[in-house]
Amino acid sequence: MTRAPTRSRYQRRMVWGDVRASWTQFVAVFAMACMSVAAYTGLEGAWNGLRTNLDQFAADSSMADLWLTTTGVTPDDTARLAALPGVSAVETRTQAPARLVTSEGEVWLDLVIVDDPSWKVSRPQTMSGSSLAAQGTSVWLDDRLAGAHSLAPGATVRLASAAGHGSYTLAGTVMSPDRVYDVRSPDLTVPDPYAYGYGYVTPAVAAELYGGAPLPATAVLLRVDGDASVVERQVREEVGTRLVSLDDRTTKATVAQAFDRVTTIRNLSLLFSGLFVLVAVLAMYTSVRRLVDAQAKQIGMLRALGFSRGELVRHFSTFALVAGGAGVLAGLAVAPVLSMAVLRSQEPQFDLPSWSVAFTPAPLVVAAVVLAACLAGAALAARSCTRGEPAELLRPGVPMTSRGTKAGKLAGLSYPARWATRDATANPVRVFMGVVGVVGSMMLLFAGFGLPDTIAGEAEASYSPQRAPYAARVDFVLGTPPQAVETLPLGTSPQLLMQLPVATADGTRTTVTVLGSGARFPLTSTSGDHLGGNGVWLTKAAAARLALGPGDTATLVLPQGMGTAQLGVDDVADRAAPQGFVISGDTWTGAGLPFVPTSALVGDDADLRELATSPYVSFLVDRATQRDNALSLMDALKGIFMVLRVFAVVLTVVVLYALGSLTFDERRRQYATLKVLGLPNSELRRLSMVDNTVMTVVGLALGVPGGLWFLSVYVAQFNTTVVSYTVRISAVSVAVALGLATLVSSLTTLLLGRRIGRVDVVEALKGVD
Amino acid sequence: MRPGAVPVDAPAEARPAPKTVIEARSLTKVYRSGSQEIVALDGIDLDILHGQVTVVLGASGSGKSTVLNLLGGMDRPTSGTVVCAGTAVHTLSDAALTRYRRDQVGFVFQHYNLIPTLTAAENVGIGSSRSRRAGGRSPVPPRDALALLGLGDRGGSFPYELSGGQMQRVAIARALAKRPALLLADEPTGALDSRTGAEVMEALAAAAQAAAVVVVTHNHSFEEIADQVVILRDGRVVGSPQ
Repeated sequence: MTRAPTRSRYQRRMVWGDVRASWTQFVAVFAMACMSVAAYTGLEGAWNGLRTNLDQFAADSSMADLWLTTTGVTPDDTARLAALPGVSAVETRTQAPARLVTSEGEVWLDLVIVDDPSWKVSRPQTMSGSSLAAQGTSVWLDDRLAGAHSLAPGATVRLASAAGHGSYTLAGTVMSPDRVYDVRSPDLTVPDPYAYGYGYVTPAVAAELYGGAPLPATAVLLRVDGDASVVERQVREEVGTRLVSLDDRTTKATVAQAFDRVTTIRNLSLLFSGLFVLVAVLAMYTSVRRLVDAQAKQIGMLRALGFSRGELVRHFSTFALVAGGAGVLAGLAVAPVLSMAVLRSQEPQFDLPSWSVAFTPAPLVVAAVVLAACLAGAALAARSCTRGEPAELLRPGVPMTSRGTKAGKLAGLSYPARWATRDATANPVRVFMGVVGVVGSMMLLFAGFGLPDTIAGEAEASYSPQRAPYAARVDFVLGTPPQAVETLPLGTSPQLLMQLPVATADGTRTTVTVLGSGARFPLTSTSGDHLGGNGVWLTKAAAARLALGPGDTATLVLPQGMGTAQLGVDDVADRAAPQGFVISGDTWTGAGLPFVPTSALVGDDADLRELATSPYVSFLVDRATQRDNALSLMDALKGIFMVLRVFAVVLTVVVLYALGSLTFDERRRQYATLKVLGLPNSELRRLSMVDNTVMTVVGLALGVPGGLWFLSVYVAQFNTTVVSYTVRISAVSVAVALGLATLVSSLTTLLLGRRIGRVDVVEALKGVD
Repeated sequence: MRPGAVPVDAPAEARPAPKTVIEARSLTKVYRSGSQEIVALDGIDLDILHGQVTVVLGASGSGKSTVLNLLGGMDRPTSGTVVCAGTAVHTLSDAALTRYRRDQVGFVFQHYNLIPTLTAAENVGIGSSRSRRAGGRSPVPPRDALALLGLGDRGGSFPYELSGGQMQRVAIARALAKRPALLLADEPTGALDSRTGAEVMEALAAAAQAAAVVVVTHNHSFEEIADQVVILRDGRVVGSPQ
């Protein structure tokens, strides 16, 4: 004897029937759930993977907690620093500038001398070839640098310094935890292995390159147990006037920018996913709600058959669970691929031995939120729809929704136009959702197109001949006396700069740039006025960060025994980098402070070839390279920009197509009626455009200011203590964003319009039950 | 059957000679469902005359609605011909069929099919505002059409504010306002109570003064207003009621 199907089995069959009959809603809910989870999880896998790999490298290599630069450190100093409470290990490093001579040109190098290969702090990791050694005449190069110049272990490399040169066998390639994001100077934002890098040499090689005289150790690396800020104060007191700079992991540029990048990508991901999930959840809620509304008669019938409200709520919740759950699972499955793609796009910039994605439990929370939104949408919609009495729900002729309004009557519109207008205004949720979808897409598109514009615009503006009227920037070796600078072939009108790391009274770190005489470092106020003569200026983002403005007085703790200085801020300057104080030389020296140049901006008549070989020059970079470097940040982030753009377009397609399709299904009977009444397909197509056109036009109108706001929030994530970007988006990008949104909307309208021609009037006008 | 009405199989010499509005010959419609063929209509002949009410009776599945759809240009026959005022409707293109429905045919459905976002007057207007009848007679203004059906004061009401009978009368007004040559009604009282149904029946009988009216129904009460009764069974005309 066969057993009769249970009530729940019938309900399961009804759910599958709904899935088949309402595939548009199913696909909309599925796609939004999938993309929401994929967007968050995919990007989290990338930034969390980057962070995990960074933390792992820091732990494996015993990365230093503090980096101290001095004018010279003795074994006695080292012993005293090691004895400080909280300090667990101290090591010194001896390093000097050199150049790698290749067939394409010369590459600036920082060479560290391997005086003891058993380092315990910031141990470089061997990537290929042999490990570091103190014997022989071997050279190890930065792994990325070697790769960029096609140098493998065993190759012969030619090194040069001001005092000597030689050819050596490349023993291996390494990655240093001290240079995990190797930016050579404050105005370079992306590591550039074609311009500079680092390496390690044995003492024998150093002796050949630097003339045999022992080089002083100037760098001290400390591992700290406990509060690094407490140790910092003690270190400052201990080193005294010989202190040049003291950094921890949050301020050492070559380390901090790696961790900053994690924060940036994380913030970008959270903003992006937050917006996407918000729009997606609204779309899902609307889709489920409309599915329930469209089944008012079936609900009435089921109520008449004795189904309880709770059972009906469960039935529609099950539909949402199936669609949303399938989407969530698909999103979780796709996410690792997205994570790996974004993570790999970061690989060229980092000296990081391992690259693997890593996830936190957060995606499960996001998945639960998305699923909860689906269920809540279904439950709320079903609850409100099942409130009606069965007889009312079964009443033929007029749908439960689509109550009429008088909109359009006074406007003198034709009858069909009135119908289209009223149908749109009678369904404000549908129009609202469409507008939200378009606005959300515009925000993502503006971010996707505006960020590259902002970066490119900043690079072009900062290194334009007007804002940067120099040919090259020359950095001097630490401790170069001013008298030696005067002997350098800097051309006729160089402008000398003194750049110092300083701290405010509350310990906030920033930079002071003291300007020598000259006009190669022009400054303008935020209102565009030229700032010249004597004065103390503060760049805009630094002013905001330090909460200082014109008329305020700043107390600065200066390095190298210069004590503290009280400086009154005259004005705020509009400059992207370097962020911090800019002080005229006369004001500086007038305060009794010494002007010791650390860099120079030189014109075309400077002898760059001779400068490159000078023992006083540690780095030289021309303006075009600076500009190219700033622009290359776009390459570093192109994977993320692409994700933004693709998701924005998909969001527009799904939201507009799903809503358009739902509208079409709801109107199918009315289209059939109008066709029977003699309205041609062409007119019906024209009328069907009203909804999408209204949603698109309103969405675009709101999307432009919304997009600019979102872009400004996005750009703010890129600002660092060194660089501050001004929001820019080109007219072309705005046009492309508007065009893409319009194109997607038009294609959606076109596709849906074609379905009108295929409406079977006989089928559509059959009894509604 | 109303006084003067003639069964479809009555001798030809007994019939008056009103103008034929539409003429169907050997009308056949076959639906395909997978590999199965369902013969909805099997070679019927039909003449629909101006000023007369033709009632098509039959059980569910007998082919009543198919007849209506083919006469109204809402569907195409598998074989056979439909000729309206010299025009071979069965050969018309989609655009021409649209014009045919717009200018020649008025429809009344069982479930009214009013546009819920338009008022009663607008529902009437949307049906008539585009029709171009031969002879240049302009459509009846929506309010007047509604007044003819006793709804002169409900022109500004939306469908959800009307009763079932009122909605069906709005649908009839919509069909009549364009002054169609042919008024087709599909189970027009199927969703109404008997009293309201009688009002609708009266309205359709009155409509026959200016058009040929075809009503498909299984409601035998319509025989009271019929000039011609056609009984269908399994897609074939089987005669008139006793």
